[in-house]
Order: sequence, then C-alpha cells, then structure tokens
Amino acid sequence: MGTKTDKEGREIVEIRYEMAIPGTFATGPIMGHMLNKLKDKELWGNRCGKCGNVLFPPKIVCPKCFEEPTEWVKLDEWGYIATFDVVHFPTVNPLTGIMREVPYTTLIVALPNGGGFFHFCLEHDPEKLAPGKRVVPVWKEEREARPSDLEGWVLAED
Amino acid sequence: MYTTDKLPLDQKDCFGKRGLMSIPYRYFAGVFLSRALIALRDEKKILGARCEKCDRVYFPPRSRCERDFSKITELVEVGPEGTVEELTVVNYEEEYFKKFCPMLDIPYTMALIKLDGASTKILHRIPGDKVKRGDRVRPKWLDDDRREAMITDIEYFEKV
Amino acid sequence: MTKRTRNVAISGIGQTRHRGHREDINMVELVAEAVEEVLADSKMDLKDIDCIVHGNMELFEGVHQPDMWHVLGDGAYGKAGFRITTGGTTGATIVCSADHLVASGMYDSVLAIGWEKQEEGMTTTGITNMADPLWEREVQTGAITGTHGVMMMNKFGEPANQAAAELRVLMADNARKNYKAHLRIEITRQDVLESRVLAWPLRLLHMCPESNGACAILFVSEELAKKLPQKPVWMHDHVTVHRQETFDLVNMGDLDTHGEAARVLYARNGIVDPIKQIGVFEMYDPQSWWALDWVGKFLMLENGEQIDMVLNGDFAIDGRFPLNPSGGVVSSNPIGATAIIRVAEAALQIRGNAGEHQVPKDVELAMSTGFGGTFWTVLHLLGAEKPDK
Repeated sequence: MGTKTDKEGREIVEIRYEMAIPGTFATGPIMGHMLNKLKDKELWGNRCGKCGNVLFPPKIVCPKCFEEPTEWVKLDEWGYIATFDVVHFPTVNPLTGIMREVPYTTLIVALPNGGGFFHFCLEHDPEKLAPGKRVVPVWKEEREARPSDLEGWVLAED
Repeated sequence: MYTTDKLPLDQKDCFGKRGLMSIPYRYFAGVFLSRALIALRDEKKILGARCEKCDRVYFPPRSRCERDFSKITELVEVGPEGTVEELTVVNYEEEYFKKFCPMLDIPYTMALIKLDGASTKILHRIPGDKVKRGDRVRPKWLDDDRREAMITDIEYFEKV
Repeated sequence: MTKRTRNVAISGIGQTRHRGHREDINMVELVAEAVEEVLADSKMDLKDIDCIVHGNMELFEGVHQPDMWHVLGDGAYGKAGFRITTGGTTGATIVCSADHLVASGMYDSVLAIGWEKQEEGMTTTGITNMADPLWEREVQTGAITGTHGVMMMNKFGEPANQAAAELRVLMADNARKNYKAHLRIEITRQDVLESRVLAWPLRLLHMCPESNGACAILFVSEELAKKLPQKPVWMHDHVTVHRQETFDLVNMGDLDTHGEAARVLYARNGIVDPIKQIGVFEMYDPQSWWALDWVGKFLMLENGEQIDMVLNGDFAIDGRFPLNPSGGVVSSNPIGATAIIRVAEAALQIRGNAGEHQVPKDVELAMSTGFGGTFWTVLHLLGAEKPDK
C-alpha cells in the first residue's frame, strides 16, 4: 500500500500487493497414481496400446492416436538429455511464492522407451552438459507426492 | 467419476495437491485519481470528477467520461453526506480478506451510497444490520496517522 | 481462397507510445489513449461503433475481467462487447474475432483493443502460471530459454550466432525509426554478443523488454470503408495452429506449428514464393534466436538459408524481404497488445503511411504473426486489394 514520488516530483498512489491465493489442484486417478509412486522412488508412465509410445507424465489419452493407454509401465531410472537451459535470470516459483536461486538448470529428459518431460538438472556447467548424455535422478529424503520429490537429474557416471 | 475400461485405475489415488498462486503486484492509480485519493488522506475531502460536456460528476473519479468519451480534468467536492440507495447484509468472514484492509465485525452492511452532488454511487460499508434504503449517512474517517490515500481512509459510513 | 460472406477492412489504427514505465496513468487511461487515437485516425464517431473486442493477459495485472472496468475508458458503454484472452496471441486472436464478427454480418464496425500494463505484475511468474499445476508449473521458466539457440548452434555453428546478433541490430535500427517503439537503442553486433547471459546462448540483448502499451484497430464492412477517409486495408485470411506442451517434448519437430500455419495459408491463398509475393512480414519475435529459427520456418527454408539472408541484409527495410520494419517484439512487448501491433504495423505498411519506418515500395500483401504459450501461432494475411479480386 502507499504512495511514491514520481520523476516529476508528484506524489502518486502505488499499491503494492502480494496476491497469494491458496489452491487445491485435483490430480485425478492417473496423475494421482504417478505422483503417489514418487514417494516410493518409482517413475510410472502409461503406454498407448496402438502406437506403443510410453507417456510420461501419464496421460488420459494418447495425444497422437486419441486412444486410451492400456497399461502402466515402470520406467527405468535413467534417461538422456534432449535439451537443457542454464538460466541466470531469477524467477519466482508461483506454487510456493519463493524465488529460485540462480543459476538453475532445466532440462528435457528423453526416456529410453520414448517420450520426454521437463525437470531440473543439478549440474550447472554448460560445458559438461550436452544432448544425448545419460542422466539419472536424485531423490529427496522426504517425499510428498510432488514433482519436487525428485531433487533433479545428474549426469550418470560411466 | 471418469473411468477408462482399458487402464486399471484406483479411486484412492486421487488427491488434492496443495499450492499457491503467488504473484506480486503494484497497482498505479494514475496522476489524476491519485489527487483525489491524496485529498482523502490529507484533507478528509471527497473529490469527484466533473465532465464539462455532460455535467455528470463521477466518484470515484476517472479521467474519461464513459458516455461521451471526453477527457475530464476537473475535481469538485462531493458529499460528505449521502443517501443509501441499495444494501445487503454480510454474515460471512474470511481470514484472507483481512490481509488487504481492516474488516468490520459481522454482521455489517455493504451499501451503494449516492453522495450529495455525485452522479454515481460508491460501494462502502456501514456497521451493523439496521440500515434501510433512504437512510442518510456520513463518513467516519480513520485517525490522522492511519490514513494511507485509499478509499478505506473512510473507515465506514454511519447513519446521521 | 476461403469463402467470405463479406469483405472486412481495417479503417482505423491507434497505438500508444510503448514505454517501460507509465506510473502516471492507470490501465483504463492507457486503453483510452489508444482508443482516442483510433477515433481520430478513422474519423469515426464513438457512437457509431457497434462492438468492442477487448483482450489482455489477466495475470500480468492481477485484475480479472478488466473489460468490465475498462468500459470507463474504451467507449464500450451501451455496446456489445467480447473479451478474449489467449496468452501471447491475444492480440492476434482479437483480430481474428473482429474479422469474423464483421464478415458474418453481425456488426458493421468492431473496435479491437489489445493492451498490457506490464509493470504492474511480474512477467515470468505470470507466464509460468500457464503451466499445469500438477507437474509443469514447478519446472517452467517462461520465455527465458536458450533451447532454440542451442539447436541452431548445433546445426549451423558460429554463423547462426552472428546472424542472431545481426538480426537484433537490424531490429534496433528499425525501432529507432519508429517513435512508438519502446527500446530505441543504438547497438552493434559486438554489444549483443557481449551482453549478459540469461540462458546460454540467450543473452540479455536477444530478449524482448517488458512494456506498457495499447493498440486499437477499427474493422469495418466494405460499405462503411467507402465512407471513411483512410485507405482500407483488406483482411484476406488467417490461420491458427497450436499444440500442448507435454505431448512429445522429445520429438518437437513433428509438431511444427509455424510451418503448418504457413503451409495452410499459402495453399489457400495461392502463394508459392512467399519471398517474392509477400511485401512485408511483421513477425512476432520475443527473442532473436526464436526469430532466426521461425523466419526460416515461415518462409519454408529447409537449410538455414535465412542465416545468409540476415547477413546479406535481405531483411532490412529496403531489402529484398523486409522483416519487422517496426522494430518487432524484441523492441516493444506489451504482451496483450503485441500481436495486434503486428497487424497494425502490417496495415500501416499497406496504407503507405507508416512514417519513417515505411518500406520504400508498394505493398500488395502483408503477413503478420502472433505467438503464445503452447507454441500457439496465428498467421494473418492482409492486402491492398480486396480478396475476391
């Protein structure tokens, strides 16, 4: 709340306000199942019966075929880097209202059985990262059925 | 509930993920409206905007007449007394409201009040639930050190 | 050619000067500035306008249904009104909507208004809210991404880096000729290549600013266009294509919205050689790396020919294929207005009264794009002649 003085010396009203509306987002049985399995340190996707693609995060319908997936698939605990971003621009995580520390690295993990998803990478040196490199997940000690149960992904040691 | 007969699903897997939608904002009133809001704080005066073309006086003030689109630059004093035109009684409290401004105890009345000299009504609050249409009201101001150039510098309206 | 019930013309354009700070006005007054200009430009009386279509991205100001409040400043009192919000493409979609409304015969005149008072919110946080709260919202970074840059560098090497920087310099040169633009800076390729890294190889100078601005366009029927003073700019066609983010992030190439939109538009309108047949292209370019990639996709270039085109100056105002003579999005980005500004600038070029940043030739056809969240692409085609000629 309050006022400030503008460049021309006039007093103008500037209301500062943090909008922080609490929400409860319904997961449904499919995302709910996948998120619950994160607590067991397991990654589960589902497979389309028609094209055989594995979908992670799991979907209600296969986006290519419009068919319902027919089985749950437990994913291997590794993937490849499809692409990555080492970000030096701080942004706020709107779900928590907390500013992210920079640099932070986002990446797209490509799964060996097909498909890919966004997550964080714990390696921030762009020299060490490249598309095609193997990555493995790092799990948090305390898990709450959220994507952040995975701390992030690191380069696999060969 | 939604079911698929292909993929095995368990109702117990459904849950509600808690989160916020948290974004910081800064709202600017603009130079013209700021003059009126500052007058509330510094002079305990209620200023409306007068359209030269059609003679309507808008409170809260605005710098365009909505009817003929002419620019408004004149502020004139309205009120301080007014007449209650419409009202409703509120019996509902929520913690979240208190974040923005001090709230009255329930039950309180939300009223559309036509201040003397204004062509528009303003929405404000009156304590209690004994208000009737046609009642005359006047503003009760916050103390000098608590006014901040906002409409809530008028803490509430009370019956004359 | 898609069949039209009737022709629609642009007969009025109004735009504010886009600035980083407009603390002296509130949102309503911002919109009123653009509306005042469009009324003066078209010499149309407010009372004769049938309908207002209003759009912006709500999370940037934190005011929901702002079209209700904005009746105070956009002349919508007592008229029909629509509100449209489609993320970054809001401006382009309100143009599609206004086009449909007049073409259908429902209204004879529609005022489309796009605006954003960006400084009142937090841009990247607002954009991140578009992502689904169950998985993606925690890992999104909005438009600050270097992935396209990485892809172009892998494919084409250092020339891509030089071309992205050169494209940025070209946009700055154009913006200095456009007094409505926000960033009117004088920079060299070296300045761009040495600016601060945001998400490698995306640098600060590659990225668009956060601007406050509004733009209004008046769409009228053919009958009404004859009575108004400005040269009418005819709406020919538009295409909208988009895809959802988590479909298949690994094989993104399969779902190329830009190429698809261009293919459909060109097929429908008899365009076989866009570089020759289209006079001016106002492309939505939030960052220079995206611009470098997308201009190739829109022009159906398979092998990075656009890199040579940039380095040869083909995209300059007096070049073979002028790109963003207004300076583009990388010079002014009031998000809710940006896509409609592209249409407005394309229309100004066809009219021939864009002022200092007018391309020095007669423009028969102009194209403009909008871009938003889930790679949503809206492509507009405007012409100096009526579409059914």
